[in-house]
Amino acid sequence: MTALPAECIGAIKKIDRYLKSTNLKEKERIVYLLKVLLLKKNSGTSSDTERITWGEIQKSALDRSPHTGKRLDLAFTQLDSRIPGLQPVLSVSPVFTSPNLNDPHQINNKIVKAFSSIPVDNDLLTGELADYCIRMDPSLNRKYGFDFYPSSVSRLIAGLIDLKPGMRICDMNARDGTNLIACIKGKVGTGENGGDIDLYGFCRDDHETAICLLNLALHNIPLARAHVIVSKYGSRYSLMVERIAPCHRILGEYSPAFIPTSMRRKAHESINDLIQLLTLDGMLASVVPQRVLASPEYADARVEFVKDDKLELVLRLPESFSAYSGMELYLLILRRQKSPYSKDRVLFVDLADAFRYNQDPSIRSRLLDETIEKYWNFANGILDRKEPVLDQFSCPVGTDVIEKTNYILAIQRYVYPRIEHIDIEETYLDLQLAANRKRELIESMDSYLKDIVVRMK
Amino acid sequence: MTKEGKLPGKKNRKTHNLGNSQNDPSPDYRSIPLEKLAAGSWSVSWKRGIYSYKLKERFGLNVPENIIKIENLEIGNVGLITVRKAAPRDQTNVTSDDNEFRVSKNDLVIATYGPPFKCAVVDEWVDGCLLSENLVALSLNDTVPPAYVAAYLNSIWGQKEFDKNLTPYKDSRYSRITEHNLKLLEIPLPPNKAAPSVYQWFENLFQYEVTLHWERELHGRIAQAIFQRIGGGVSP
Repeated sequence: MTALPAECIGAIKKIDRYLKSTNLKEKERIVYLLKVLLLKKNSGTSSDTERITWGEIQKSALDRSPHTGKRLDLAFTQLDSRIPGLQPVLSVSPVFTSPNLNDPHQINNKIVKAFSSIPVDNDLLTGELADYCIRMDPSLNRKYGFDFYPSSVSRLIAGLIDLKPGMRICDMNARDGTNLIACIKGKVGTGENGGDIDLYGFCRDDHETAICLLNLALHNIPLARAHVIVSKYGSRYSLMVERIAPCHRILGEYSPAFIPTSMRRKAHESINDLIQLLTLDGMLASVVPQRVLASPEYADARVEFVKDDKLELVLRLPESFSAYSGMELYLLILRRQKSPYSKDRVLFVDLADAFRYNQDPSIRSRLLDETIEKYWNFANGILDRKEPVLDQFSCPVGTDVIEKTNYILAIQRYVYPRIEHIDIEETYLDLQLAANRKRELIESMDSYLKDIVVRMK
Repeated sequence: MTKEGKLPGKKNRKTHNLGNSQNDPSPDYRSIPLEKLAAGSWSVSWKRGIYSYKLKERFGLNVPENIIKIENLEIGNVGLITVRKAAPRDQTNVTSDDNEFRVSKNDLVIATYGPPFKCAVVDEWVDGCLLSENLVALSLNDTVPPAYVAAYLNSIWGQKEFDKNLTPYKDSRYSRITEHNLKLLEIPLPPNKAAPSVYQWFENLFQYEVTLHWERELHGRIAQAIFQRIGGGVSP
């Protein structure tokens, strides 16, 4: 559901069709699209005579010049001096000349012409355009299963972070930078561009790094404070650490714990290592599948989280939050040091059931805000400790109760589905109606059956 | 036992068929392809299920929860759909191109993946729900009631009819039936003189099963109401 104008979507699809006719791969196509978008956004009118403006590139395309690709390359190199931090993007293929090398159809010229119909003066629209280009790529969205969750999960995680100046946010699976963007954009009062918050991100490969950086730049987030690098191992889990120590140290010293193939056994070790690196009031968010909460192979991890009193929130995400993966996802919030109010207690929230019983879209969007507020009320002790149930979809549970249930964190054990008040008298009358209806139908069927027997002899 | 004191052999045993066996067609036997039973043209009356990965694209955060899946089709005489709407149909969430995936009352829902190739009729409780992948729905004309067609396709004769037209998967016991082959399914019709009674009987049978299902739900509600009275609260 995008709010983009139809002509913008048409233009992007047209460009994508042009690029598909070249030898570029999927991720390379996205990098190319985002690069040109950034170029157009940042080289509007320039007083510098040496700098190549978008107007010149457009003129070159209209003249069907064979050197449009070279001009694009040069313009992008010049852009690097104005936006520090783009260096990793420059090292990633393709350079703009590459579609032109064996290009009898002048793809670069066609692309520049198609781009001329896309407005980039509106910052919000440019961000949405970038999101649309990234979502269009199936390799980024569907290939890796549950860790490529929709951006709504990012917004939810971002809502749970209390952003303060001087904070460091790290995303262990930065992919296209959606989490980092949501953290900065979702907060009011920290400045439009995130103030002095440092961003750290780990990507799978060079292309993802480039996509992440370009996406951040297109959302007006200063790249000078964003440190996105390629993680050697990637991360099966999406982890986000607030106020973490410098991130390169995590990979340097703790890399064995991050190997995704050994995550099944080492998940708790790696999460515990990360928790140790948090500042005292730091927070770690992790999106996990259901098996982490109930299966025996993760039992050690669960025992440690609960015994050391690190776990603060278990939130079951609605089905629509995980539509790509087709499996139930849970959001865990862990802290190195919980507040005195949430000590020895874990908040369970069943957002999936809340969504199921409320089909109205306006209520659903309100439910998200209510959930975030509920969490903060719980963490800050605003809610009365004596009240065990917040509402039908959430419940704070003591760690002693979890211990009795053998450290099973499945939400169905603690939060029960909603049951309406049932009126026995009214239901009894309905039952009478059903019985009468049945009797009538049997009589009617009998008469028809007699007729059938006679006629089909 | 026969007069000679022997058990009836294969040749002597009476076969209960509807006359669609190629060896022994009944003199009154007549059948009609499913395509001819569609209300209007096939393309108009035909609805297909939506793929799960397309749900997010279409609905965003507001993916409807009332989706008819293949496991919601109950195997019985006349198929029932067990999914029930939790809330009335949300009109704000319905877009113009949305209706191609939504079923209407009296539609025939067929599983295209099997065996068994399950079949069911849409009652008023399921009206407006979304169809999931591997399911198709068909609006029928007034010639034959949907309950009769569903009952036939759920029977062993109907399953055999599916067997003739399916596309098998390699190295799998499951198969799929294509839209084209579905059109070719032959539905046998009762003799003319008995047809109205047969159709009425099947319609009543369907209504009877719906009522039974409703009654079962009401019993469950009464059980919960009793526990609510004992426990003194709505929820545990």
